[in-house]
Amino acid sequence: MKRFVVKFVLFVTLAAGMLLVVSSVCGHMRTRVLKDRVFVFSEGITTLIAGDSHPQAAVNPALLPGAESICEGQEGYFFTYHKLKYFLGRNPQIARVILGFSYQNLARRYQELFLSSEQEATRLLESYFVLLDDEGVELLRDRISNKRPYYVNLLKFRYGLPIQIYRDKDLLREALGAALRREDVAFFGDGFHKSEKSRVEGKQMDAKVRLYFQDEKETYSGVSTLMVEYLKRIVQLCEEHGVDLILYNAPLHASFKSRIPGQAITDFAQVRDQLLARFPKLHYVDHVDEGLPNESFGDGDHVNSLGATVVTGRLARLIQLSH
Amino acid sequence: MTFTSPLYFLFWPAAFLVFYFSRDKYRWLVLLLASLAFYAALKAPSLLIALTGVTVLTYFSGRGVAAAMSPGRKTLVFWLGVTANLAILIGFRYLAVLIEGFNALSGAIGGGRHVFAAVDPISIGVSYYSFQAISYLVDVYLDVEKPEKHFGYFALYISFFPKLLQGPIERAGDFLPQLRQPYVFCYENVRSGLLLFAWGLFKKVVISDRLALFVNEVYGNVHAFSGLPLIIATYFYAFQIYCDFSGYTDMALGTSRIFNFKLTQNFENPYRATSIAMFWRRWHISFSRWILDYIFKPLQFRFRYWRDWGTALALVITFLACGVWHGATAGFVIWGLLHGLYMSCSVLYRGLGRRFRRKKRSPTALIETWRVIATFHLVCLAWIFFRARSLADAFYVINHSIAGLPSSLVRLAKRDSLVHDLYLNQSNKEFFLAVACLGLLAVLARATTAHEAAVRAFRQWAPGWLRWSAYLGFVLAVVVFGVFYGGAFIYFQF
Amino acid sequence: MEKLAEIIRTVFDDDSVEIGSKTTAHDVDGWDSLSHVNLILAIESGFNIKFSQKELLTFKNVGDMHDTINAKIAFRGDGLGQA
Repeated sequence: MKRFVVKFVLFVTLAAGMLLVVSSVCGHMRTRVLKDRVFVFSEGITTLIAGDSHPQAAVNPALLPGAESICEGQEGYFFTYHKLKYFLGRNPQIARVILGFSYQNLARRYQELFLSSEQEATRLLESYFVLLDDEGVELLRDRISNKRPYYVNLLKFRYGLPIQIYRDKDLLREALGAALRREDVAFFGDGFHKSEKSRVEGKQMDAKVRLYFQDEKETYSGVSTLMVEYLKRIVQLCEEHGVDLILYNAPLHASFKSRIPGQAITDFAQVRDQLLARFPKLHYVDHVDEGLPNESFGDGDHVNSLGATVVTGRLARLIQLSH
Repeated sequence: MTFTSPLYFLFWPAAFLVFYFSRDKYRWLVLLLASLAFYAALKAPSLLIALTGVTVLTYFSGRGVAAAMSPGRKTLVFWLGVTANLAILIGFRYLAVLIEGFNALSGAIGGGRHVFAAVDPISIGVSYYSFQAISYLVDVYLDVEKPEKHFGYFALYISFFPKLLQGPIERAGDFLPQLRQPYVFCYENVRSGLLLFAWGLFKKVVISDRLALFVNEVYGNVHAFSGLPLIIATYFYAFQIYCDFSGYTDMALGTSRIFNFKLTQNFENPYRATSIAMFWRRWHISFSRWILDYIFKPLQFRFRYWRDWGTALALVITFLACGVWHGATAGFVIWGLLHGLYMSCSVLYRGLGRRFRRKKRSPTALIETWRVIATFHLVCLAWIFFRARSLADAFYVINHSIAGLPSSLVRLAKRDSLVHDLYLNQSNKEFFLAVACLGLLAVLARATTAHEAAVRAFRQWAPGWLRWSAYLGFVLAVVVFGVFYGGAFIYFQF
Repeated sequence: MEKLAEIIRTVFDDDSVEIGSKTTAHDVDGWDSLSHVNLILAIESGFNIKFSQKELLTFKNVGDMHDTINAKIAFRGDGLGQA
């Protein structure tokens, strides 16, 4: 028995030691990844386009002088805040940020899905956890309903444990000494979504509206105070960096907008007005009803690149005029 | 707690230490208390009530049956005990469903609602130890076993924590004598027990939970898929449930081996069976033996004058019961019914064949392979009903697996839909890993005696550092390749 | 015993297998729980007896069956030879 206990303790110690060594190596590599040049845009890039799939589809960086898009589908303000914090830190030349600001950005059930759905939590935490600051991590710990994705990602990104590292292209490339590319980094964002396909369909729009605005009981789920809080922080962040912030409400197909619950539109307007009152230097551009034809819409709530050309042009002119 | 929760890795060493340092007289008490603590950690007090109920009722029924003077009284006490256990089982497992069933009876033709996603913690374990208690009562009633007079031993027999939550369903004759052996520390048992536990953990966390990613994606929304992905998901599910349950069984057997207890093996390469009958001799063995001895045999005997048809009827009823034990939804019932029909057909076919076959020829390797493949597919067909969220989904899968296959293959050939049709919307790396896992299983399944000898030689003669490197590598593999979210054991819900 | 052995050989179509009191289902090819009932029927008709459910569930080997059969014949007072 004594022999067994000695061996057992020895084995556990060795295993722990091994994991410690592997974890510090991984942790070190993750830090190196975050310091990589891939996140630094050229000096000429002075405008960042950020947010979820709406600005991703609507704002074409090629049509704005010195612009780059880091939008990513389904990215809520909780994650966008941390992402902008990081990018603005690495890119002091940025003078302007165009942030998507539309009705679904404040919808409680949709935006807070990552706190209640294990699938969503897994997906989003895996990509963005590395960017979270201590407060963000604490918030997750307190509010997430299923603690497993939280602990797994905590161990992985804070303590370097090599959990599923084969999925992390950035880590693998860093280890092999290869140059990092934008598509290797999970949180970077796909950027402008170029497609001319058009398919506006009633059933699809119904499903989307349900997904965004309705909770399990099929009633309007209300505004997410968490998202409003983090939107405020984004505004403050831009102020700190001396960056011009434009809140951009991308075009919606008329029949999609008509499906949105009236209360959601009212609540949105309330939040918008509060923000504009509190932060006088904040800009808000409303392109929801730009009267675009059907062919310019990819689906009910996203324009395609045809529509993007039109509204980006209008946005560009607005920006020019305000200077 | 469950076998894969971090708490368990603190629990069993602590339990073992206390167990080891206790006086032999009290070791059973240590295990009993540990088992109760283990069950209590699920934070469902009603479960402890069920456990206590089953234990107390069965203990006294067992003694009552043996002490009964007249056969009539003996039978009465016996049936009272059995009924009490069944009542507890039904009450805990099916009450909610029964009420729902009544309400939904009017519109229920489209298929039952499948209570799959969230494990209902209110009944974990009840199905297993109540069945175990019933087997004990039958053994006492038939004078196969003497009733256990020591209440503590009996309580431990029912609640021993490695087998508490998901079986194996132990027979009194196998388990109780082991309690009376004095405990002597056996290094080999502890070591092989740990290795077995580790292997079970690997099967669950690396293989089963990984396959689950694919299966859940497809079976969570079957209408989004057609053709090949449905087939892949079904095959993956066959192995997911195998690795999940046999992984649990290995962990249970491994843990109990550390305490010098030998539990019955639940699995023996089931997918290499050449017939459905053989499949059931290799799948969930402790359970299939239970339904064989306590449902099938009595029924078959009662129907014996109908010869093969009697046997066939007994089989159908037995497997219907098997299906219902798993759950009272249409999917499980059809799954059970299918297996019952498979078995009946083979019995009837055998009866026919006996009249025409002349000499028994040993089958060629080709025929054996064909039988294995055919059996596997029959089993997979039944799994579709087991896993699908509703009958409608199950029929959709069956229809579109075949109907949609050609067009899905065409799409794949054009490399149009690799992610959707082949990788089932998961990352390609996960897909390759899943296939690698299945490959690993295939290699291990084909373990020949030469292979086993090689493993034994490795364990005996390889230098310590080589063995330990392998073990450390194994630990690393579990950390790197483990899928750690969403991992409730499938058989918890039964 | 010889008569019982003969019945077993006939039911399972195997003339070469050795039947002793320790023989079990494992030892005879084709004797499994599904075909067991055929054997029971053959024995019941061959010896003109009836088994009870309880007896059936407790047979461990051929020897058990033999003892039970003999007991039943003796009880009948038949005396028509041993099993």
